[in-house]
Amino acid sequence: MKRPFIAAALALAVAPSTLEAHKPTKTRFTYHRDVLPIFESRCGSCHREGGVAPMSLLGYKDTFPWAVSIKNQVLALSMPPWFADERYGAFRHSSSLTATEVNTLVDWCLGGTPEGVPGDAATRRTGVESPEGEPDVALELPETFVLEADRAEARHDARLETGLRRDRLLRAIEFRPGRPNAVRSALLFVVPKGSKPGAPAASWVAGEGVEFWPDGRGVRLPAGASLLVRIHYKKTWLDEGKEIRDRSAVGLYFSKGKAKSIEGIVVEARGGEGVYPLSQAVEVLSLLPKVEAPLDALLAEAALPDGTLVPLIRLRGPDPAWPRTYRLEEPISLPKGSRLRLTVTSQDEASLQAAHSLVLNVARN
Amino acid sequence: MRRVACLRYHTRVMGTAWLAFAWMGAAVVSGTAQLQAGEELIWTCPVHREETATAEGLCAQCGRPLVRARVTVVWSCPLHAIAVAEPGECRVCGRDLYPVSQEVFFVCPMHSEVRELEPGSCRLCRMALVSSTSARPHQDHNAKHGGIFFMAPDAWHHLEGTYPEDGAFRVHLYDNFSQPLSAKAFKGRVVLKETFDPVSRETRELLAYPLFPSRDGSYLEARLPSGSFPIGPLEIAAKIQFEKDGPFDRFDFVFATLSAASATAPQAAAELVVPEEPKAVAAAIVERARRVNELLARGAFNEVYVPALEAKDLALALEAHVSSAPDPASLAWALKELVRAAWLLDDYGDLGNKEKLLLAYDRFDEASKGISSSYGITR
Repeated sequence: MKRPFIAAALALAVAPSTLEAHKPTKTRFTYHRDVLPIFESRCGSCHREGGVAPMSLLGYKDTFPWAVSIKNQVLALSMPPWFADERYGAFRHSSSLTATEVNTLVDWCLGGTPEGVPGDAATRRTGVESPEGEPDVALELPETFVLEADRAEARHDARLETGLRRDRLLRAIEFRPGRPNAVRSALLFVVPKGSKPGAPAASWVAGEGVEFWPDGRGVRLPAGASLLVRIHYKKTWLDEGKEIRDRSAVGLYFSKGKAKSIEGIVVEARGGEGVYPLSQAVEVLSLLPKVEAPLDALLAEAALPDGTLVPLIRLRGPDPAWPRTYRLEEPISLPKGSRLRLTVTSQDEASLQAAHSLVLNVARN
Repeated sequence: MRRVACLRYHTRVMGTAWLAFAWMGAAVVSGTAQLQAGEELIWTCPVHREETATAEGLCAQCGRPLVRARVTVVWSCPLHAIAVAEPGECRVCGRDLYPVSQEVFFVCPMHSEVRELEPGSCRLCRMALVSSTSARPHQDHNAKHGGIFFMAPDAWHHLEGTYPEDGAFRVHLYDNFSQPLSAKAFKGRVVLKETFDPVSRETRELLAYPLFPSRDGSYLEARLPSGSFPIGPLEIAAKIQFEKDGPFDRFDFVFATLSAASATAPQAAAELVVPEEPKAVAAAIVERARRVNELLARGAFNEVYVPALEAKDLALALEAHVSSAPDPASLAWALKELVRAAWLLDDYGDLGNKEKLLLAYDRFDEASKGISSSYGITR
């Protein structure tokens, strides 16, 4: 038995008689009806006017000249920059394309990029989600950072004093880029007074909004602690030769009740593999892979004391330019005595030897 | 046989076709066309005619405003310049006709700059306009000499490799309008043996022969050792330089027999039937994967797209059943991976690039294995 809608699709797309295929427009998909909804939901937080991407995909005339590039990026898994392999774990806010979405985009790109009728599909959310309410404390970078006209990118560390007189637990740390089209990513560290920065407490990458920790968990912010904000600036070609000025900000959201403290565990992989034995039971909430060079794959697993192997995350072809925190749909509990193992693979020996690591944000049980 | 790809693939356009079409840019067509049966109204660039859209806009290559054009499909002979409205046989040689895309417009016999969408009279001299046509970018990958047809990475040049007699390998070159190009404008060589060093990741040629243009410039030819078909198919890597100082692009030809002298007639693919049951759909995907593997094994690279794209559409049909699969995440991953790999096989098959095809096939194969294991199908 054949399904009618599939038959119709195939008549146009697959088994096409040669006559069908020789029409200038040989896709059944149109921009407004089929393509724009995908861009809105998967790409619009960066590919919008003023976004970090050099072109908006939210208008037909801005989009169709990029058809070949879109096709190549989608097929190469480069865009959207979401590298988690869903077979190894489920994560929140995945921007991974479905099979149908991949096919719609590629077919449209190859099939003549027809526009269709504006308003053919309901408009969906395109921007970054607004947090519920304002942060309890908002801190601006102490100084405006200037990326000179002759520099394309830069990394900048800024120290923010919180001025807090008592310990607090944070339910979220929000990073707000001052110049969204030039700020690619940021790592945020809590630095207790008299200490050095440890593992990052939070991260932000272009296109992300604020992310709250699950109820009952929070990051400890000791009295007198400061925040270190490590920002990666990167100009698009639209800003080449121009001076860029940025004064980003950080918002702190306090936990109201009691909460388990979230800590960062760092597993390093030098030469391809690293192991970290757990001396305490933990609950893994999220994972931040820190990839220092292009890799074929990154795999993190936990070997439980009974020999069971629990997959934590696998990244396929991770790109160092997109350091993202992957937040688990459901926390993973690991008993004391478990061994965390990080494995990276690459055809390139130099890439393999780089100091790759994985930060696990965990709550102690 | 082949619809294709080059329509939107163009990153660069070169050659005399620029000049041939440049004059069109001066003649802006306007008004609402009264289309004849079989005609379609499109927007296209006045210079880059392969750029098309269904709405007003700018050329993706040069930014010029698109102009309107009426196009139609006619049937032509692979060898003889005829164009008729219906499929059939060539009245000259009896070969099966194949479809090509044409632009239809009206010109003044006296003023070449006048080019209108509609019949009527010349705005300069009032003479009656006459109907004219021009070829659109061909989208036709049919072999003209019984050989194997590929497209260059620049998506403009095309080539056909033939092995018409023992020891003779020939390359016929074409532009994007299926028009033959003089082989005297190109350089190339043929590689029969090479080694790959995994440390330096470099390929070293051990046995290579130069390609020389024939006296009339109709093809490049390399004279190879005779007796080339002792055991199994003959694998030839042709490396062709399309532009002065440009790279030598590689094309992998595999000949199981001597090339036939005739052109290859296009064949319409059979309509795909999608089974009702998910497991049967998965089995159909596995069958397509087997066919892709078989085509790759015998070097029929430009035929791989048929089972690959069929598998892709079967995978799309299966996506509706992901939630009821035993391991939805693994099946969802396999389906999207197969869709990506199928498009890559289509792409690299056009280019005749064996290395890229085999890499894409690895992904395709892993995905099809994921699909078959989701439904307990033994391969």
